[in-house]
Amino acid sequence: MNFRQIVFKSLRSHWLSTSLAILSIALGVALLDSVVSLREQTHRNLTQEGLGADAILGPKGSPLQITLNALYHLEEMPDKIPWTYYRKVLEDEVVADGIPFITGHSYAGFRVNAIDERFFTAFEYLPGRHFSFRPEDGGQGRIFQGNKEAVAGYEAARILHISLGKTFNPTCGVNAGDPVHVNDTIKFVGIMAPTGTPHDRAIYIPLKSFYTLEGHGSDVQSMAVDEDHREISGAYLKIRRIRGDVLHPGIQDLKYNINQSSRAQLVIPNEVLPRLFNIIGWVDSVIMGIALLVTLLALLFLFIALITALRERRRDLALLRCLGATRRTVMGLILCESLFMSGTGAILGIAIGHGVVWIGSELIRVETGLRFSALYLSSADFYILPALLLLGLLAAVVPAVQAYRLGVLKNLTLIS
Amino acid sequence: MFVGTFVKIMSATLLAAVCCGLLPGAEKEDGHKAYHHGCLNALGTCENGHAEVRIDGDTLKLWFVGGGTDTNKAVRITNKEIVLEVTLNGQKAPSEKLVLKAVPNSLAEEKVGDCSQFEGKAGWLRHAKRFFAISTITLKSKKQTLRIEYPDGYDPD
Amino acid sequence: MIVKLENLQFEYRSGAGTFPILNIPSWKVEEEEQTAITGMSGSGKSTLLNLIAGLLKPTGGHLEVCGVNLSELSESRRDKFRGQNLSYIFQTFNLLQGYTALENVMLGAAFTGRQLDRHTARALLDRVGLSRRSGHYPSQLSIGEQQRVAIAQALAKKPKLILADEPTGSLDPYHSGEVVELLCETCRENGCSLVLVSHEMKVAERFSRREDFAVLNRGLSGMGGKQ
Repeated sequence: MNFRQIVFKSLRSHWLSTSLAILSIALGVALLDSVVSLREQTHRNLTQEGLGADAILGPKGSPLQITLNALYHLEEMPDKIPWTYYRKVLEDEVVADGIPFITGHSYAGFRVNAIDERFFTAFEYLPGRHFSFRPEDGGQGRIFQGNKEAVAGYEAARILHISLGKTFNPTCGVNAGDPVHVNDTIKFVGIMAPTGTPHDRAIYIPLKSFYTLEGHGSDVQSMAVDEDHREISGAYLKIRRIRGDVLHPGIQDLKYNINQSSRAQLVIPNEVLPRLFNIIGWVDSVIMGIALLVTLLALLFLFIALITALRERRRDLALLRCLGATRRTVMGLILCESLFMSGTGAILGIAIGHGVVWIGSELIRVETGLRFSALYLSSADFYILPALLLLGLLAAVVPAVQAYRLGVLKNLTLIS
Repeated sequence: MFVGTFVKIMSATLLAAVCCGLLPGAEKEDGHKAYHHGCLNALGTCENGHAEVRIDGDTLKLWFVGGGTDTNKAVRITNKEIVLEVTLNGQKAPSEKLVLKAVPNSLAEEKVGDCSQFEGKAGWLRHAKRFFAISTITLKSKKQTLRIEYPDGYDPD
Repeated sequence: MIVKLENLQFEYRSGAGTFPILNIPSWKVEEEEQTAITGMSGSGKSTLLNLIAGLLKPTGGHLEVCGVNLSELSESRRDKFRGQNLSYIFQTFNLLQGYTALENVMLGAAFTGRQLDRHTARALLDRVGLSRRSGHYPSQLSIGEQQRVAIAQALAKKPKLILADEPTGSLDPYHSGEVVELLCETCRENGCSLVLVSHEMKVAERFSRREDFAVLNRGLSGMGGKQ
């Protein structure tokens, strides 16, 4: 029988308190690990290059609302902007390109956006990445050509069981109960390859087909041809670069100039989204605090378990000393038991935490299209184990010292 | 003894936090931000409005913006041009005149006579490190002295 | 010589003063010798065994066990020495409660630097007649059976010396004789010395060498100390 076997024997002989200590540490660690992972992935998702748009030209209103609608297909655009204004903005030397879009329709809970077809060829949803319909990328079909054609994002197609040739009637609005364009049947001709962005959750129709939907008034329908009175919800803008990949510094002047207008504003997603993150950052700080508290409570439980076990094991430890164990050996037993429990709890907790992220990521992906990965290695995955081992050692200091100072003869019943 | 030391340390930490802008009190700094990275010159008082001035090479750009914390909002004036009497650093009397022409922001439907941006060119601007300029504008239908202290800005408050 | 002591002294020190317990002018135990020490309860016999085992440090004199001067060793060195060379059997509760009989035997050699395999441990249990109880915990064994397991545990490290402090104190006369007989036989078979302390004359009579503790500790009576 060696030292390691003695440690495990001791842990097994107090299997209930050992298991409870490991489980409570695991739960605290799982909470901590999952919160950190979700927070880091959320931050990454929300700040990844503005999801393809350097800037969004939109109507007056909340910049956050405009960003959420244009990039995440949430909320609604507060108003419309004139097509002529969009064209004027395109003429600015700072603007390289623009892709206009119209939001406000839906199908079975998924947003239906009317958009310029260059969205599928010129728009980079991530640096260097364009949308694809190729089968080898996971896509199907092609970009729409006619007015009664549509393409679906990967997640929308999966959830709604969309296949090529299937038809639908768009709803005029995004809320339940909004009227349906019953006389406008649109056919799916393409399914985009998955991108891991919210664009997977949208359905797209040609920009001009929006105006021709039956049910829109004649003033809207005339916009299909009358550019002077045409309106759009907004446009994704590509800003010129200087010195490689640096955004043209004139973007701030452009933003200032547009924002003085009574009809439009320029929103830079990379300025807006971190502010959103700061707002929700409070929430996750609170959750982190709770997770830390749970972990510390678990370590306190470990401390109490060790102290209690020590009281019951005094004679056993004295017997071990009689058999030849030194003071350091019995102290080492206590420390190793604690290390085992805190280490096992940490590893188990990290595994459970990744499991929590896996479950959560499915829910988040279904709701927002944002991808979270259970295999993502967060900063917590690297510091939790060493931190818990250190804290486990700290929790064991008092009982270990008590074991060290254990009086052998005092704890053995001797009669002479 | 320890309580006293603890209180002192906490107070110092709190003070440092305020200075670093960690507490809400620091938000005021952002409101007086010069949006175009120029210097802000109050139009009479800070609340009235500001003239933000920036020199790019031989061009002086001037934006009329809001008072208080609204320095990112344009304020239009009816002047078609502004003539600045400029006293260069080290001199006692105005030695230069600079004419600023209206540059309407077409994206905000501005036009000459209803404009917030002005520009003027001069060779001496290229080497101007410090100067004082004065003129008169019409702001909200009233005559208003335009006083520019470059590069520090002018804030009578 | 397994044990050699000269002018061995031990005093108990407390706030109330100093109380001499032992003052043994000289004593020896030869290799493979079996000795019984008799005396009244509380006379200091266990203290002598504790000193020989290295659990206490003499306050004076010379104590040599297995050729090592224990008086000069630190506590941890005495612990290691004891782990490799000596075994100690108590009156009761010799075994760790959370370990089976077999595991308790294996534990006997845990601090020798050598591992005792299960086969050898089972053989030791078989020698004491308990191989069929190898998987039982101490709480499932009678006191007599526990003492026999303790004997097997004591032999596990192949000690040079076994110290037994009232090993039959909790047993009835029949089992008492059985345990002592077993202890003596196994010590003889393994070539290790045995020093047994008992207040029972019937136990001591089984030994060819018997010591009266009062005589052994004669140095103390000369000082007017505890007898």
